[in-house]
Amino acid sequence: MDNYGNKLVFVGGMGAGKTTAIRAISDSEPVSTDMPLSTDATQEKSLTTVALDYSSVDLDEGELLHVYGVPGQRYLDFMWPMVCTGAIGIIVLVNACQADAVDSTAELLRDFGVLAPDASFVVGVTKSDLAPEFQLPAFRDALNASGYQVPVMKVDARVTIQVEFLIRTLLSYQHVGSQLSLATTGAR
Amino acid sequence: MAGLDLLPVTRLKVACSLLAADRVTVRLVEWGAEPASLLVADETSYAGRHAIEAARHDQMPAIRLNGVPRATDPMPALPKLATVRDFVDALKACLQAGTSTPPNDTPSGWDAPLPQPLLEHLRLDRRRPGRVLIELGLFRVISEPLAGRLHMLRRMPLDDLLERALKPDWRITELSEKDWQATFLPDVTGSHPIESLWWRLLPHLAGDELPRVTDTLRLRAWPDLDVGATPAAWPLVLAHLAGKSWRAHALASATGVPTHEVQRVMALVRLSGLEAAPSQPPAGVRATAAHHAGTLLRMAKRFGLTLLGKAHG
Repeated sequence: MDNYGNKLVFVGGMGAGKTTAIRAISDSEPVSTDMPLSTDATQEKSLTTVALDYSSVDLDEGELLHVYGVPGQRYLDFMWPMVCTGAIGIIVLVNACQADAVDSTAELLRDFGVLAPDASFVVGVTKSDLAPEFQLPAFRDALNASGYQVPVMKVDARVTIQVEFLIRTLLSYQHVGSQLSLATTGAR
Repeated sequence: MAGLDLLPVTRLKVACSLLAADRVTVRLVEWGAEPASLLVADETSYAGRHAIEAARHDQMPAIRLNGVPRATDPMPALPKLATVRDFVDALKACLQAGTSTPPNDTPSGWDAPLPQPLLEHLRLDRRRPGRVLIELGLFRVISEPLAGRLHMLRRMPLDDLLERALKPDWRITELSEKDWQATFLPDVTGSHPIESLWWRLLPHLAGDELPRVTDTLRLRAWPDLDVGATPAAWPLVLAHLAGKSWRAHALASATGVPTHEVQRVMALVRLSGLEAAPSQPPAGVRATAAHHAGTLLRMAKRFGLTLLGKAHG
């Protein structure tokens, strides 16, 4: 890695769209560790990422942005600290069809908030077109009530400009956070 | 204050402390964070120039640091290395000139009803009790602002409704609880959060349909944006509004986004009911270490975002 801070992490449960989102923004094909699903297989998804996705994005001055996708399942949490240390931002993806969407998202925000205290967070809700009953304000307000006031938006992980919008939001929060920090410490 | 470096800020702070001996209490805040009586801005900085322009527009007294002295300019100019005494004298002069009262908000249109009947009955900055039936041709919907819901009475595409939202000939009928329960509730085919509808109206709003927000505003919660239709710069504006209260012109200076565009965002925040009450804590922008300013800038550039600010040059 070039330096800490040039890492962006996507995290979410199975089928949330991490691999797809990373592919949408990457300059190279992500390296993924996919395995056939033994249970919970669906018609449209027969593989799942059992370890992590990795890809990169070229930045100016020869810098690379390292992009990771990590599964949100707790039995795979041993890999979370490795990718989260020093990350500039964490994007939590959640499938709108998931029954426990609020609780699982709040858990990920809590756990990754501890692992990456300087990171900014956004939540992308995927597959909302398959969940007509899903209403984002109610989902967002439930997260807020749990103590997580982060940007939340519906996103199609297949569409590059939508994933880029998530990242712009995350960078905007990071920028504003750093400005607040400077104001607080009196630095100018 | 806007666009000042560390040295003038320090001298300004000392000057304000000295003014306390004259029983003049001055509290320093960042420009745009709170209503202010007087601006001190560095005219050679981007943020300072924009703040000065805004102060001129609002007829607010200002001291231009690094500014070119002009006999006809009512705003005094101080040299780059202005001393504490220079600041004390300039502050006193400005405050004693009787120009220290906060400017009145310019007429903004918020007190008048919106000219579009549908929009007026969807606004969530003033939640009317009860329900109204809103009709235009085959479109029949019921607005229930207190619950934040719009009920559809026919199966019609929401996009078609939004396309007609700005028409002036929507007919409004107040509904009694009895009418609602007996006649309309059984016919409801679906309901939408009104808050979300405001943000989905975005492609239909050119900007001049909305009243201007001339006071400060802070965001309570992130809006339900259509990420495919929202301008690229809006996340930056919204993130700033989530961090603290801003006036439109100051936020335009801080973000580099045109003031009319910032006004549009702020108007939608207010109309969609997402403005924070003064008593609510700031919404979720954590102060974060600025260790990775270079990487942040390069990422921003790669993903189409322009960042202005102290840490980023």
